[in-house]
Amino acid sequence: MYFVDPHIHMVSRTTDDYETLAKMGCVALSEPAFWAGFDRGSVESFRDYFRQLTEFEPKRAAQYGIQHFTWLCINAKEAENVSLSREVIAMIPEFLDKPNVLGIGEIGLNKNTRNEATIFLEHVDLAVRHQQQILIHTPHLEDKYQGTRMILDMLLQDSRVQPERVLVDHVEEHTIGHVLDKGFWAGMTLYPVTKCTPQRAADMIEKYGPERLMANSAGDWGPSKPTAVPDLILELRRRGHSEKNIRRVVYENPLRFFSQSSRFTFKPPE
Amino acid sequence: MPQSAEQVLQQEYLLARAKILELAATLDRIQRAEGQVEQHPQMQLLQKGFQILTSDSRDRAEQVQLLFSRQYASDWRKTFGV
Repeated sequence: MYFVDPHIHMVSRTTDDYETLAKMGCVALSEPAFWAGFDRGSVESFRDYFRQLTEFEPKRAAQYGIQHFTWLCINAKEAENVSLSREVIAMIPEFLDKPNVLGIGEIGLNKNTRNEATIFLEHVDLAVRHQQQILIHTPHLEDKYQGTRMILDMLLQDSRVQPERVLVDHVEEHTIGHVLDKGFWAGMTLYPVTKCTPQRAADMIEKYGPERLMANSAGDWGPSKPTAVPDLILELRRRGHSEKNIRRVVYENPLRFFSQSSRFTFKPPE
Repeated sequence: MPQSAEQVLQQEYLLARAKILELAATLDRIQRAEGQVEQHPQMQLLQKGFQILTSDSRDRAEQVQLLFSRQYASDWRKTFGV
């Protein structure tokens, strides 16, 4: 089955992972800007990173027939540095016309601080002013519920934000209802230990239905599997779900969401 | 066709058994180690988690998530001044 991974950090993965993804049926992926594993020191390091996302990674992906799309921001961890964040936000428009840029992301909260919230709001303003879609990172573990509620407050209290153009990622059992009820898209991240398993993701699909729901591997610096979405496909098949319903979550929904971006040009496999 | 409860049980039984065994071994490990942690806040959270597991509730996973979560206050924007 062809699938799209809507959230995977290929910058942190070897080229072997592209090969594995291609063999498993991945035809497109979207890579939000994230943390480098250390706090970057200047806006120029972000400029170089955005070049990597908009120039190098699409070429690396294309070697394996995978279409690469990306999102730009300064991530929530580094948002504690308000002055650097503002420099990065001012620089982002230089890249918004690149062919593979879908919008602003992954913005969000990390430890749910005032500085993080301030920079989150400034990113949202940037996105709205430039008619960009938004991809949201919700915090991990004990911070997730509080942070998700705070993020939804900020989005809903800005009347310019269109929920159907926003993907709230890393949802779990205690946050998915809040996200879907307000009309946003929800992403389930299939990541061992700290996030969600394919089994629990399948449970959420069964409880909430496939509408506005996606799954991703969020492959990054930590232990994570680029084959996480195929794991979910297998679990859903094991439970007797139809190919049509599975395809909706892992292929059609990401494409439907991304198609709202003016930059999204996808060539389906023949 | 959706699976029956019997089918789900048969599929999940060995995995659930393995997870219970891991938890049992973890508790044994804690007990074998020096010191007392019964009153430790994390131990008390774990005990509450076990109670949720053995309850009759239909949304145990969500309840466990909320148990291990920081509280949300609706007036946070006023507190932060943003």
